[in-house]
Amino acid sequence: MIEVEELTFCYRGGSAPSVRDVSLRVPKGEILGILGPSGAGKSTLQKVMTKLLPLQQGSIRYDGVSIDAYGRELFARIGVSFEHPNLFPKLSGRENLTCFLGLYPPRPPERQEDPDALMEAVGLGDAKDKLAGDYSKGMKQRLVLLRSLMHSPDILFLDEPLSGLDPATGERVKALIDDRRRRGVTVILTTHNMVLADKLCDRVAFMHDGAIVDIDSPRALKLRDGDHTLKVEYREGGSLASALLSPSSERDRERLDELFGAGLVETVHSQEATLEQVFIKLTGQALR
Amino acid sequence: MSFLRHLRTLLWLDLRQAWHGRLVHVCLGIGLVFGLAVRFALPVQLDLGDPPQVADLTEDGRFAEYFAEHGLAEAGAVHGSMEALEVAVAADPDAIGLAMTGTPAAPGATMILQGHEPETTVVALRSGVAGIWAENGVSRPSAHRLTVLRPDQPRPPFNLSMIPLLLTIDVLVVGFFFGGVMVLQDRSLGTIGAYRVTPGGTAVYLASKIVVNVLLALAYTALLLVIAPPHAVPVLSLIAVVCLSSALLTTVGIGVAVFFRTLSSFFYPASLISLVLSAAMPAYFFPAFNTPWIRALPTYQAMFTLRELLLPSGRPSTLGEFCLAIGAGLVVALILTTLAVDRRLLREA
Repeated sequence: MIEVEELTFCYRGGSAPSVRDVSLRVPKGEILGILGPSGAGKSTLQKVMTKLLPLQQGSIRYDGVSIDAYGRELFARIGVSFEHPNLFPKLSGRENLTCFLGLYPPRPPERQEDPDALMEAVGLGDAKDKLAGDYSKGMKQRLVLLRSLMHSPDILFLDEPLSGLDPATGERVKALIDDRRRRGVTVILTTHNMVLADKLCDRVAFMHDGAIVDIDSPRALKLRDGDHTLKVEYREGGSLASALLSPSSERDRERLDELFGAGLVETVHSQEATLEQVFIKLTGQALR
Repeated sequence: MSFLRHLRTLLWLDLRQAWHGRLVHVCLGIGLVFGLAVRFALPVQLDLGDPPQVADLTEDGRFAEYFAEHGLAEAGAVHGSMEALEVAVAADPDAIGLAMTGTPAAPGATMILQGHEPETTVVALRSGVAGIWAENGVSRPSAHRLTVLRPDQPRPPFNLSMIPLLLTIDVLVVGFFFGGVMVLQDRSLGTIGAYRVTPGGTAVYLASKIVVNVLLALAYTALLLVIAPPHAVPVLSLIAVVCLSSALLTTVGIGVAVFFRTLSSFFYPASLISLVLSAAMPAYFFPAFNTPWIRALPTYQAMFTLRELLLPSGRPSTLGEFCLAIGAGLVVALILTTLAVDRRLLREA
């Protein structure tokens, strides 16, 4: 269980806190997505939670133990994957996965990761012995993600894990993250990718101006804060027109009745709100 | 135990990085070039230039034999008249001429200079003239005296006397520059970010870089001394001096580099610091540079301690003093650099 209470962080010389009064509880085995536009404070929150920035105000506890009580052994419990690949270009992909392993406490055999199997799982099986410097951006991204898994952490912090990946490879990475969740790994995922957050996360937290404006499961957020719409295709002057109409709007309901009454409606599809629409509704700002 | 396990892991990685980054090649390349230079290119004795052009214009011709004894006649530097001497001097822009004139009762000489020579040359030549007259039976009070403190000690050949200097240059380059370069490489690749989120800490990071550079310095030293063996190689003392000097300068190099983001921004301050550290080098040739602040430089201390080890002059050993001074400097540098690495490198700004 990760518990964050009233966390506030301000950079030296900063005019306003980058993270304001953030409180979170993430149970073991949950995937929590942190969504927000650039500058919302997502990365700062992650850096404070991974002890890369000092704890200024508030508290963070991992399984009831304050982050202050941890030394560098904290990094044996957590795995951190970066948005910008930071690999050793003159080492092979496989060597990049294993080069830091000696820094971690030995794991029992049943918890040891097999680098070859991991590489196969995300489509890097044929590039194991290729120099990381010769990898494409998407391949590097996958390698950085795998490196964060190599020491079998209990908690994973992933920053834009699907950045630069094609849809098919993205599915393999999503399956890998989901598999770790099933094994009880807690995942904190920072992303702009609404589809990924919607599909993969148990809950998402919307961050805006350093604060969490809402946190819940994607489904609950969409039901509670999103507008459902109907996409109506109708005949108009001999051609086909379409309109998005909200059943919650009286004006739209009247328009719908009008179209049905005139027998002009050809098709009707219901559309669920997207997380992005919910975010815009809550913050008045787009995610990117 | 975990420190040693961490160190082994990082050391292997840093050695590979040093190999891929060509640091090993550069280090051994410099060692090879310097070794070959000492062995084959540098002279055993310094040739101070062509002999002067001379003429014996004294009434009794008393210097003919003297000039022959000093090989001047054989070198074709003896002329029969002032005119011939002037022609010979004019033909070579670096030549100087000396015509001995007069009699034992009224000794004299004419010096022919190009005009660009420093005043010291004129003064030296005047003293030389007096010396030549004195050697040839004209007794005059002479101010020249030569005292040798340890006449039995062999004078080291010029080429071998360069080894301590070349070893010090290596310790400076490999230690200070390579230490900084390794840190800035980690920064530019972003791999320091990956290291930050591992259990390996500041001490392991620093220790690994120091060990790699000390190993490189030892490899360079071994290569140089195998190619150009000096008078003595007291292995343990030599290892102690090279290890301590390299460790100190590597620590300083890392401590400075963490304040910069790129290699280009590190270049200018690093050059300035190297220049200060190199200020000890002229003192090797000109004792006038032996000022208190230069004597305090680690490069000065390393250079003269190495000279005493490899080319013993018979003076009492200063190895103990060196180890104490450099050891103390290393402890201070380690404390400051550990703080700097921890704050500036292993944490986010």
